[in-house]
Amino acid sequence: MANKVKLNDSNSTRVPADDLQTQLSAIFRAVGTTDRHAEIAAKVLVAASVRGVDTHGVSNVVGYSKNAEDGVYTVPQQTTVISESETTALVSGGNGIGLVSAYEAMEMAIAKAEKHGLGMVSIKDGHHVGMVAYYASMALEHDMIGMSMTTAAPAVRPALGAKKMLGTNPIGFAAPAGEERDFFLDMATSTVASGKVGLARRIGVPIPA
Amino acid sequence: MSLTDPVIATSRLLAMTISEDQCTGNSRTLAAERSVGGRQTGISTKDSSLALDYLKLNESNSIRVSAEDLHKQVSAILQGVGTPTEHAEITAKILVSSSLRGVETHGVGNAVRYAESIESGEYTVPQTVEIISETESTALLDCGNGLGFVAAHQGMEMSIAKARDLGAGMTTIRNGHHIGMVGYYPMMAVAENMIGMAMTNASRSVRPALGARPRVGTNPIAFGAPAGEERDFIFDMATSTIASGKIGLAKRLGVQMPVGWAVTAEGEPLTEPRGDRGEDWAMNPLGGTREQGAHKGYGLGLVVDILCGVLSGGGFGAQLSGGENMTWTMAIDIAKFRDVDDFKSMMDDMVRELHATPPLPGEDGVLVAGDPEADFEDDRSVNGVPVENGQYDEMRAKAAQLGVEVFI
Repeated sequence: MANKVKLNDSNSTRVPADDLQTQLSAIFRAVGTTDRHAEIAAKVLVAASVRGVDTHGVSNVVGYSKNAEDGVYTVPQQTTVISESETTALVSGGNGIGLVSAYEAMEMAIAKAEKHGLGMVSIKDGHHVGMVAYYASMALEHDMIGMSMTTAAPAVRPALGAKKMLGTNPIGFAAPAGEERDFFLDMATSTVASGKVGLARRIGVPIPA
Repeated sequence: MSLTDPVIATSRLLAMTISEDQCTGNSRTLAAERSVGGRQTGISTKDSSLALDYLKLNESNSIRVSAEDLHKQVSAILQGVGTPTEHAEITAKILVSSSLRGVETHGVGNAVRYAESIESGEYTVPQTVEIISETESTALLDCGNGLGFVAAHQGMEMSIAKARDLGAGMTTIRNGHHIGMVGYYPMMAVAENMIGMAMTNASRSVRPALGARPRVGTNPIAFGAPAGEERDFIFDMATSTIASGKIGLAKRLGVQMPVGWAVTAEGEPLTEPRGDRGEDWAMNPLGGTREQGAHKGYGLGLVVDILCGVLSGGGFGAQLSGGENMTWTMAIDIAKFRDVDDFKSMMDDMVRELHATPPLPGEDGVLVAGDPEADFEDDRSVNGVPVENGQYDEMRAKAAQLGVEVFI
């Protein structure tokens, strides 16, 4: 089923990643983000598209920028530290674009790991972070193992339960390899990511039992 | 249903297999993946627990023994083969905890096997756990080829101490062996108002998603977080469809395995439980089929291999021999983030919200990880721990053979 949603020559247009980065960044800046935050948000979305994770890719810029315009997101935004230890921090995402707060939190986690061995940051007042393993993969260029997770609104039933109580709550994990490709895991904790259900609906195919 | 009636058990399983075939509608290439495609129909999961019911201990197949006596007996047997008192006490504590919590596959019945591994020289006892490298928040330990319990226990103690100082602590352990119920170690952190996590890897028994040979261990993950008035969250899962101990149990009881637990090298469902490891069969990764997310169980299995085996240098599943296990532990000090009572209060809210979920038709109610084990512990800490008849005799015989006191 997942094969039916692949992009091809007839349903899509190829654009260089650099141009996508420039375009997305311009859109984010136009709705009030800082230059740095616009570059970050664009980078995370382009990375998802480059890696074939189209559900979390560049097309989401429209929804995110609309949320910024409508005041659902607060921009410009600030990531502020609520509590902190050498290896941990609790931060507020300032109700801003989730991509930006998650990116800045992972930068903090990396800095703490560089100094003390490991680092961990939990973020509240946040929004959608896009492809969750992007943040885990930020650790790779520092020769570190990275991990990232995010919660979401109820869509998944508990085992034995008949009502939506949990989010699809994905987990991302990355570890560097040498000559082989880096290990890069990004998985919803539901049977399937919710984007795939939406995709099946858009293309009009039934979902597997 | 009588647990000692494999005929009934087999027929119930067969009925389940047929209904699974009927609700299969996908077109994957592996025959086994086709046949388990409808395993989770979303209607009721009750039947799938049947196989697990066979293994329950009852008055006719087991003898109740007090946890204290069991602890003394396990410790005495381990000391009888040369284990230092402190190490024997740690191992006994963890094994008894598993039995108290109803995790029989990882409980006191294994004491004799560990003692034999020590006697044969497979384990080095007395062992020295060595710190190979260390930072404020991390450590790499060498288990010294001894009892896995001892190094895992020390690893978690170090993680907790580091977390108390700096917020979070993590250890990875090489040159180790079986650590028993992996969920024990997070419970150590929970007792200190911390979040705990532990993983351990094992030799190859599970096929990768899309693969037809065993290459990954059952590689369990455990996670614990403290609640306030509600029970603590204690989660302990293999990254395979089923823990390998359950296959051994099915074999001992002479019952068939449900479709979905294992496949042959040709991709056909394997329902006859196997007691050996080989290239001609494999357990399925959690998820089972591509459509049901087998890549997720497989991916998590590799996360365990990376943190336990690659980070420690002890080796990933496909490199390990049976009985070799590398381990990883982590502790996170909640107080470094926010008020512990506020954290626990939100945990209570979460547990209550989940317990209040309307159950699927035919189910009694929604559980939270750790509920069944806590129920067992409530009963067994008062009424004694049931020990399977054969294992009871085996422990007494081992104690007598070693010339140590028989406590049970």
